[in-house]
Amino acid sequence: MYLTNEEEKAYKGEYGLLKEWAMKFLTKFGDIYSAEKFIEIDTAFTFLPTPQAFEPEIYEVLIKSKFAVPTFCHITGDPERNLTRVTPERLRAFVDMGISLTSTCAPYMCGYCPTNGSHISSVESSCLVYLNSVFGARTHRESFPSIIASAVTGKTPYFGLHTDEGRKGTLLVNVETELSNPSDYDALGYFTGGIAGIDVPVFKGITGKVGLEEFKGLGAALATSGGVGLYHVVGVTPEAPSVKEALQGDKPEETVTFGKDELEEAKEHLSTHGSEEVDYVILGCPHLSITELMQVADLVKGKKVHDGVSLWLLTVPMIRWQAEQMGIRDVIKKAGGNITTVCWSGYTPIPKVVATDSAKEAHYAPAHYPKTDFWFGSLEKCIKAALTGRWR
Amino acid sequence: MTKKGRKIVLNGRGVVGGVAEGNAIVLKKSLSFWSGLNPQTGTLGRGQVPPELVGESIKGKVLVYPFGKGSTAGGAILFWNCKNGFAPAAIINNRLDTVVANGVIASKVPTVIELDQDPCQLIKTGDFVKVDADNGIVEVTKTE
Repeated sequence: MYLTNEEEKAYKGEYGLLKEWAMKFLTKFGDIYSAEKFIEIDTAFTFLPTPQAFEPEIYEVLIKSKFAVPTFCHITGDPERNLTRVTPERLRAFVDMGISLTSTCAPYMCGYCPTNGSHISSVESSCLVYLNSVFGARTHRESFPSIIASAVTGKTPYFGLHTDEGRKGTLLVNVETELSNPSDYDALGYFTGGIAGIDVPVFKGITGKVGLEEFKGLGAALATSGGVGLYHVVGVTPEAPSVKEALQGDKPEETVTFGKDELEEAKEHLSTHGSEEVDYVILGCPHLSITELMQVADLVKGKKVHDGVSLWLLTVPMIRWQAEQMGIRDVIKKAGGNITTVCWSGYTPIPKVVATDSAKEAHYAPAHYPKTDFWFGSLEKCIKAALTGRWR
Repeated sequence: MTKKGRKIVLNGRGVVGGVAEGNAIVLKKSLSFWSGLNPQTGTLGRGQVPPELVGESIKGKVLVYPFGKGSTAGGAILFWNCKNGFAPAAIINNRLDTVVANGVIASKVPTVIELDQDPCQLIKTGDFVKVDADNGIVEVTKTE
């Protein structure tokens, strides 16, 4: 990799241990992928830096340092339920580092909206795929420690999803069925991720409305069954005005069809098909939008969640505040539903039968709760299950 | 058919150097370390690997799978797993996801990718594997 004089100095330790560590890591990272140079990033989105993820001597200097770029950070938890794992002192230290807390895996719903063509560094598989695909921002599938090394230096090696070539669609997905609600997009993403792996899928033939809620589920599912960091929707996302442009004039390496059968099969696969007596309903992985919360409020208004059923709605703290101001939190509360800001619910007590609208939740949760049955379906169907106690 | 004790040499690209050896754990499908690897026990998790490999420790093993997928927490999970004393001897992937790259660089796990034959087909769980990640060479001794 080519290093500028300044980068060379940082690499050699002239700007201290932290920058030396960061440049050495990023140079190794770039060399593996034959990156020629570094590129500057505008912003970063990270998990909270925890001591387990670093060598102790690095962590010690890290938490006293200042990030080179505005950095947004996801801490999981719910202060209202006393579920925040960070002490106030530690939190202040993070803020001093230049960290803005989003407290959500979906910061694009509360002010983190990088622009088309901008270079950034982001973690959270469901978030970064959104930023890459929907906004047209450019980020690697970052992890620890590359995200922190990027935030510390304001740089990332220039390869893969940062380059035009790395953003070329390689898998063409002909969508030949109607997608009638966001959970159908979860199913489409789940089907496609398993085939795409770490390639770039291009969706052709989607005719309905595609917006925030659809993109949210589609990306999260693509990064669950696969490791997709970028997708294109022809006629919708910024780099795909046409199939030709999405594929950058080349032929796709592979073409698949997503029809009615594939949709049904993906949905079937995400349920365990056990008892229909639902006792736990969880919506919001990734976090629910205000539109979705309003939809839930409409569906439960004046009704009661069925006896013995827990209804959990996961959202962004700022959206919960919004819901409170709008009175819909109260509507949901009166019906017996709960709004929380956690990301992973950590079911307690362990439920017998869960209903969810999230492919990501339906994929990961059964492994942690082997004795629990799961049903995957639309928000409407899940709310109906919450009100009736039955999956029908 | 491959005979017991027969040696096969594969050539690829070493991305994190080092020389190591151990028995193989081979996954035919992609793996997410989040949910797939418990860093407090070094064992493989349910739902991510075939039932017969659930609970299997990766400590000292050569972990072979096509590529990484899923959660970006993966790099930190592998690092934490290794810090806890459960480092695999080496990792062999067909292609290197950037999340896995994070984990293997930070944990200094010898890693070889892009071998000239598909390691997920050729190597079986239990085979003895020598990995020379400095030179990108993998030597497999068949156990069946």
